Amino acid sequence: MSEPLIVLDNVSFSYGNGEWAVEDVSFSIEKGDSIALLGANGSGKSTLIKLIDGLIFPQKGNITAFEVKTDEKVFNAPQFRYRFRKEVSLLFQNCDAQLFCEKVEDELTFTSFQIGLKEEEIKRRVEEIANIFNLKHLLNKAPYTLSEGEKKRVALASLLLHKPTLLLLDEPTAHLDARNLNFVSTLLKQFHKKGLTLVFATHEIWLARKISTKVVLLSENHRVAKIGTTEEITNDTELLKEENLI
Amino acid sequence: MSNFSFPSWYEESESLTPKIRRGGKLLEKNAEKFLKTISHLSNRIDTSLVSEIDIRIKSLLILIAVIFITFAKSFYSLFFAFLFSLIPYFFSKNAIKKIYPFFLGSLVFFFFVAPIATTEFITKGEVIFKIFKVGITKEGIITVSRLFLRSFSTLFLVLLLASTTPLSRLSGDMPFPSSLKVIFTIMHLNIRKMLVFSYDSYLSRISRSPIFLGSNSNRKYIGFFLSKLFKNSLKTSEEIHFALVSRGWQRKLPPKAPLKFGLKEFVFTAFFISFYLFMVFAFK
Repeated sequence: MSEPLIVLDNVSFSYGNGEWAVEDVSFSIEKGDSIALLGANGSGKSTLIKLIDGLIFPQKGNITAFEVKTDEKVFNAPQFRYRFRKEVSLLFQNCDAQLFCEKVEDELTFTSFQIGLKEEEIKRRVEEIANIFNLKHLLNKAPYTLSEGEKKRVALASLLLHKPTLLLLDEPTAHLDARNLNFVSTLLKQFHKKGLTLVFATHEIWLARKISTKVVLLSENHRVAKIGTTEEITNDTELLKEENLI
Repeated sequence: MSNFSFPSWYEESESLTPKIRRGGKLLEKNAEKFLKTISHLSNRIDTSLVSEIDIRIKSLLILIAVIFITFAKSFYSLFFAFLFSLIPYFFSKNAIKKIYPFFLGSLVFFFFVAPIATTEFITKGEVIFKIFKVGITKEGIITVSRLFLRSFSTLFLVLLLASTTPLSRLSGDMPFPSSLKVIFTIMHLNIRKMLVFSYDSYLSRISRSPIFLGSNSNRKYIGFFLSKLFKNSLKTSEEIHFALVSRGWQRKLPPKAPLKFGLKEFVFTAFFISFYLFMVFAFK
């Protein structure tokens, strides 16, 4: 059994409106996993992704990351924050929120520069990744002027540039056309084969079948309905119907 | 695009020299806190006593108070008016959190500007002590104290209105011309969207940053970030307007809520008016 990167233990979170956005969720993310958080709209997938990334903190339960029991205080400790942000990256559902630099080039280099990669190394990586992601002609453009597909490619490239161990993705294929859809899903599969751990929120069965090895099925009451292998869960049509996924 | 070559550097080992900072500077920390606060509060429902009072009654009382504060001459009346302007905040924790960043910003601005007014070059009078050969006058200190009490009482009262009233009611129930209300309607829809958006941007900033805000190279990102929010707000306003037009908007605004004057409003008005009447006659 491989080492767990993140462990969620009876995690519950509320936005303060008197309802749980996520309730009593427990599962672990192990190195090399590709986990689909599958659920209908409003089931708590995005909230769960933010909880795993340490952006919001559970009111009940615990999250352990890299064998450290986390809370807001732990994330404010510079050493832990550095390690966690270097190892874990998150692709937001809304690329407009994610991209905040003046130029695409600055977006790509942002985290790599922050973690202290050498300038020549960043340059080499940017050049290569810009070729692979077909971004070379966009490097000097402002991110908010790009199309949705281009924004998604920029966001993904910027996250992969510093080689995270765990990549979290919130609806990675939202708003993409057929070509970009194929590109993103194939790319994620390839990176997973090279050892990148993936956790992605989606309501699309085909994406879970293509990329994931394990599924955490969230029900509309914000709890985990079932955890199992992708094959086991995506072939259970009765369960998927019950959870409003087909 | 699907047949891509894998990046050559992906499987190479790397040696990093981490630059770990311990916290950011006060203003930068507060910029982070500000974004967190305004975006978080958009999710909270305020059920405090002050937030339930009719917007028209609240604004009329605040207008009376601001007129009094503007024309009051006595130092004591200004001092008590300042204390009085803080009372409603004890009834609404949400309002305190909302005004905190604005208060802090105004305070920093005040402390940059106010000391100049205390010098003998600006306010003539009796010099009570000197700082680097610049005399500080007694009259200057009194003037600045009055300015502080006057401006911050007004600020607290105006912010009370903004922080305890939903934006929709602020534009909908007030007796403004309808053209102004149309602008308010679009603005408030935009602000609501921007709050959600700014929260996501704030989280993204944290998620992508292994070190705290604070170093020289990092500081510029606050500027980028805020300018991006502004640019996006313009784009969103346009989209909201298009959406309103496309969905058959006839510039009809939601009907005004009936004026509410129950026990709470009566007590609030009586308390407010009695205080200011007392102030007018007590300290002439």
